[in-house]
Amino acid sequence: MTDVDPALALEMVERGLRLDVLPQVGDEHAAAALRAALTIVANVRVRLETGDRALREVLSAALPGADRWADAITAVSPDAAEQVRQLVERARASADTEPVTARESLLHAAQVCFTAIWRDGVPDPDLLAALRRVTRLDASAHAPAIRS
Amino acid sequence: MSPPGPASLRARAENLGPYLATRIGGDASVTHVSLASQGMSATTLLVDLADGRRIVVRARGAVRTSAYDAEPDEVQFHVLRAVEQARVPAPPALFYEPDPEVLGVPFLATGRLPGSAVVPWTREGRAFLTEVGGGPAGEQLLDILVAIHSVPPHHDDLTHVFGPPPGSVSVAVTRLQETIGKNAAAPEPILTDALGWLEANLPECSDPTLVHGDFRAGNLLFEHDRISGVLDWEFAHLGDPARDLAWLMARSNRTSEELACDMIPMSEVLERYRKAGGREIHPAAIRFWDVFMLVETVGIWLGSTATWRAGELNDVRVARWTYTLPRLRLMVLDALEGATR
Repeated sequence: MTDVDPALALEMVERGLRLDVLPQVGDEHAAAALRAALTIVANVRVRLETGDRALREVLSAALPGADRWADAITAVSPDAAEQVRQLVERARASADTEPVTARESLLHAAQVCFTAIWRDGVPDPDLLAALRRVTRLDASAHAPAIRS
Repeated sequence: MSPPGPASLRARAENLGPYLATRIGGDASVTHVSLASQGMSATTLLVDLADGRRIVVRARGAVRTSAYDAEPDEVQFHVLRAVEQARVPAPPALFYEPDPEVLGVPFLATGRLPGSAVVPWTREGRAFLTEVGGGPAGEQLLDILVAIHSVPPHHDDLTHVFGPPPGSVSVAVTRLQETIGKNAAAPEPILTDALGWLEANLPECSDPTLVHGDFRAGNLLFEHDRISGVLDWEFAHLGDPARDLAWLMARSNRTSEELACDMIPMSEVLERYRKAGGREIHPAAIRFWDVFMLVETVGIWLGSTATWRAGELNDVRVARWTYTLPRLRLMVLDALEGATR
């Protein structure tokens, strides 16, 4: 198997289980569990095929605007603004080398901003829309491509 | 530890005869056991007895859905007893067995209702619901919901499991915040946004009622063109009746833009509910509960994921739920943006 590309290996496993094994599974629970496992395997395969591309697209689309998040909340939540500034900086610094870490920092920054908006009443109407654009972009990029 | 699987439960149920004789009397020798359904929160068995009776056994599953201290099946047992006196076609409660030694997990036993369930997301299911929704079942639907909401909230059985009715909807939001805070393993900005919006938009509910909590076509039994039963009371609680109406109208419970649960016109639901004797429901309350229930669903999934991570659960279906959480977060965001538009 070492000669086989990981995505192709998963495709082989997936096809064998779906077409060869699943039709022979009589127990309802076992069949449901196998179908669930196959859905996960199929999506891992798609992720392997596309690599971190989706993640990097989210970061490159979100990071330029994220600079303004801290400024938008600083008047009502100065401590939160400082935390957001640091998180966005950390996201930017790791975007190329560790996109998974960068994404987590970015989402953490968005979460702090949402808390400030609803708890402290941030008066910038554009911030809520900007944050929701980013969270939508991120959730869309991570939603499974295959739902079977 | 994961609860016993369906095969093990069936095997144990086949030997329940002597036990059942002490609980419900008569010749309770078990002649046949079949699997009715296997959900995440319960496995349901149909148990046929020698004297011709058939009882329904609902055995606790791996995923906990109740926010109350009592066992979900114990909650259901008391709720079913409370609705018996109302005009609600619900399974007659026989008993609740808390001792896990009997079947492997605590379980609820009920009588069987006539009729059969419909799978709403199949083409045949949708066609059936649309047809009967335009006839007697559609006329019954909101009468039944009003009957559920008319059960006295201070009924002894309800007080036993729920305590006094909550004074405000904020109690439910606080409970939801705690669930998500306890189970989230990573930043959850969409849920933080939604919880903030929910807190800022609490509907007024000074007069809580019994709420079914999962009132939709998939939890109804139909006999010909009439509704013969309301099942799955595991989410029942005391709270805002608008919640049941919001779920009846929710996007995830219909395939058509026009028909709630593919049965009755969306534009007529609140008016029909009022004409059936229900209270006036403000559309803002419907928007609130629409967002709330999606966030609650994410909360349940996050809780299951945490249980899985802790090594207390091995059901692969939960792993699949975890994998599809981003899609559910998108649904929360859609509802949130729809509500604030």
